[in-house]
Amino acid sequence: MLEIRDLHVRFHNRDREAVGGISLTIGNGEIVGLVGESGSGKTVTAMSIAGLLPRKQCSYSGDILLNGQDLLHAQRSELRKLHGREIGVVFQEPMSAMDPLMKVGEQVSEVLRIHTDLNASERRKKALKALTEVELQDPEAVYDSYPHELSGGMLQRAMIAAAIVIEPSLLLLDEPTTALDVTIQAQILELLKKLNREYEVSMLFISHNLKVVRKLCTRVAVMQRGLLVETGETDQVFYHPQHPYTRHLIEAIPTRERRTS
Amino acid sequence: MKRKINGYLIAGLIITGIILIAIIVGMFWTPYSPTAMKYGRFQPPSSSHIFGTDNFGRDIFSRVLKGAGTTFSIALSTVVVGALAGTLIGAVTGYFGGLADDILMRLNDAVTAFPSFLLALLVVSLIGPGKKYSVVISLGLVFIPSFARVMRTQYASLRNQNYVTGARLMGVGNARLLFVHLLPNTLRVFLPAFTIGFNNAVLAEASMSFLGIGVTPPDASLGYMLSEAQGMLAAGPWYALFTGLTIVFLVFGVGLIGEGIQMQNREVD
Repeated sequence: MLEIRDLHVRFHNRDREAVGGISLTIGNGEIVGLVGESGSGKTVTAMSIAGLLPRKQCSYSGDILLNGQDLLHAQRSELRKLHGREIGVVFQEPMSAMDPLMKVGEQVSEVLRIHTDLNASERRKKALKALTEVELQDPEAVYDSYPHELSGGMLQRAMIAAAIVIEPSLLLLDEPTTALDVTIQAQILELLKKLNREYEVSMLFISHNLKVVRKLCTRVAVMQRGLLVETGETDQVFYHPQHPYTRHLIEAIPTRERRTS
Repeated sequence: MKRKINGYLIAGLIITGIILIAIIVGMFWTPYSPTAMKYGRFQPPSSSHIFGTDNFGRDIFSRVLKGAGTTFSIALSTVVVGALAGTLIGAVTGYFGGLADDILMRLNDAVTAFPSFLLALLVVSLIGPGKKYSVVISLGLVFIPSFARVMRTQYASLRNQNYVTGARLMGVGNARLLFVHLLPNTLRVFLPAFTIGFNNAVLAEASMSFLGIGVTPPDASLGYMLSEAQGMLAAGPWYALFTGLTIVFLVFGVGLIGEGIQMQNREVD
């Protein structure tokens, strides 16, 4: 599905490589957690996949293939067709991820306007279906609301609806639950699992919250200082961490029963 | 969600509304012909000539109605020219940055460096004075830099917002992103800038006509009438008084609208 091969990224104004040669594969329907502390390169990795690298300000090499199509070196114009169609993105901060002056529903259906030939009423129907899919209470009302009228949890659901409305093959989730309180967090995780089952959409879940990663992901990749220090099945990594840094991270989880074994 | 509309905005809208209605009425009907010179020279304000008459025996109220229309339309077109071009430049430079930004903004600085009024005089004399459109073009040109700067700042601050990144990820094209997604988000700054620009345009047009390079007879603008009135301050002070007051009210009303919008924005924050 998504294959990252030996990705290097270095910003011109830094000495150290932000990403120092990582390889990672995400299979169909897999949820891969990418964890690591701030500055470990997980966001840069996601940016490379999403085509958000400021290309003029960094040098990069390697390959990122989505279903065989090159993402890293492709022309911007080609990327524009591919992104949105194949990759949905959910950001950390739902409040800032929505245009404050556009109705939520219109933002959900915006991607359809660009990538499909559907007319306005068909787009509205699909958007409403997506809003229902993310378990929003009153999809019709949400469709016609502005972002400031919704709570953070509702907005994040709407963002997820916007990301899945076109049924992409990959979802990039950049700390989508960090800004939410714990109850809502759990609900969103359940929702993501459900979507993963129903749409068979693969997900790359970026987080520094190991608890969340353990609940959701099938595989985990741990990054430190631009390198992938450990990859494996979630249970494998959590119960038998190989790398000292991973062990360190897991020990830092504030739980009653520490699973460091 | 209901929001309280503040008093400034209401007062501004009422004053501007009254003037607008007067202007529209003046386009089709005036109590007397604004150019007929038969009502007696220097009649003080009375029930038949509420603003009095001037040195040629013309009804000042009728002339003010017509003149306000001229002034209003010139000021509006001027500020629209400035705002359109300025927004375009500001959007491109602010959002994309880079070389285009550097070149256009330096050009902008160069234009700003000239005293704006002098520049307008220069342009008017180049394209030929005495026509309405020459005033609009010359003043519009002078108005571009301030709009470009304001809009550039807006676009530059918006471009790193998550929803902009999100829209780009969806594959939203640049033109749609700049003018459908981002433009509405600049309105909170654009609208006050527009009202301030409008007022400056009213005053600038008045000054140009006052100097005799703006509107020429038989057209009359408030500025032109003010310059006429100056010669007869002693014999008919009401001419200058009522013309001046009309300008003041026009500027005051629109200024209140701008202030009201800004206050409204602050309340939202």
